[in-house]
Amino acid sequence: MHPAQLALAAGVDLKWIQNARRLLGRTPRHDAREARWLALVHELHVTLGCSLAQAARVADRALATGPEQRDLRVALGTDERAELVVDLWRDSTLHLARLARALTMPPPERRGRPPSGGSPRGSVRTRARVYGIDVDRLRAARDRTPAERLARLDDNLAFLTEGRAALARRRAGA
Amino acid sequence: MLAGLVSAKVRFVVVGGVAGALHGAERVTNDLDIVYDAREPSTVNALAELLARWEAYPRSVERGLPFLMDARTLRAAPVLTLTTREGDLDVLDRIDGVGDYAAVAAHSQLVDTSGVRFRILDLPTLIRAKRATGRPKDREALLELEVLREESRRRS
Repeated sequence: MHPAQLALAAGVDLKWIQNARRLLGRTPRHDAREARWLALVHELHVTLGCSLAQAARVADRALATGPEQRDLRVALGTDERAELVVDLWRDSTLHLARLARALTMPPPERRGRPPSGGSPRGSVRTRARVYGIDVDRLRAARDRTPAERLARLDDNLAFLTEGRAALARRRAGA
Repeated sequence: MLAGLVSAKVRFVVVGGVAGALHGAERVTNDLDIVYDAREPSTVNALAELLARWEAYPRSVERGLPFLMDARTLRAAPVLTLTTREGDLDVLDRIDGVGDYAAVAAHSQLVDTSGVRFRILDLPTLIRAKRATGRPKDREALLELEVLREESRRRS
């Protein structure tokens, strides 16, 4: 995971992550567990007003619990008049949703100079051909009905699924 | 999957690769992308129930942590990339370059395949949405869609 991906997985601004880490003296890591930890610290600190150190302690405890535990109850203050309840299943649900998005639709990793904004040259057809797209095949297929197109997609998907399963079986047998 | 969404009375528009394929693109796509009407409680509830029935779980992540597939999760996550019993499904409440369901539906067309009627994003708007994402992997898809639009202009 690169930094922008971590920020998306945590649902938190990258600058906030850098500042929080510096204040807490935390070593930078870029993995799923860190994304969940950061998201929870942010929620407790920014939304609920816990101190950053207290939010970090609660997040440490939350991540140390097993998946069967639904809630985490933490006393606020020393006389136990008030307590904070973290819905761990809801937290893991939101974490998984953000993580899956960050992994399957990763934001671009910003490195170096941005690409120049020059407009592409040539007609659409020429550019498509240069890119390797079979324009004649597209034209030949234009008279298919939506049902035929959907059926082709299903066939392709079935072929891919079958191929992947065969590969997995081969790997398991090897 | 489309038939399931239609029979559950979910208000949605197909966007992404499947919409492109229905416009004539040849690219193979693994997942169905939909924009649903997040402002309509009956759609949110019906979609959440359907996804729970399909045992939806976030895609590309290790299984093990609890995932509550309900209306609250839909409301909290504007983008859900899921794997389900029926196949992979991306559930979005809006798309870049177009907007929410109302904006998407305004630029959609009805498709009827074997008795299943649903809406897909129209070709010019699909191109606009692909451009807005600006992802390098969409470049080929974008060129293919532009060729298809040019072909359709030439024919008409």
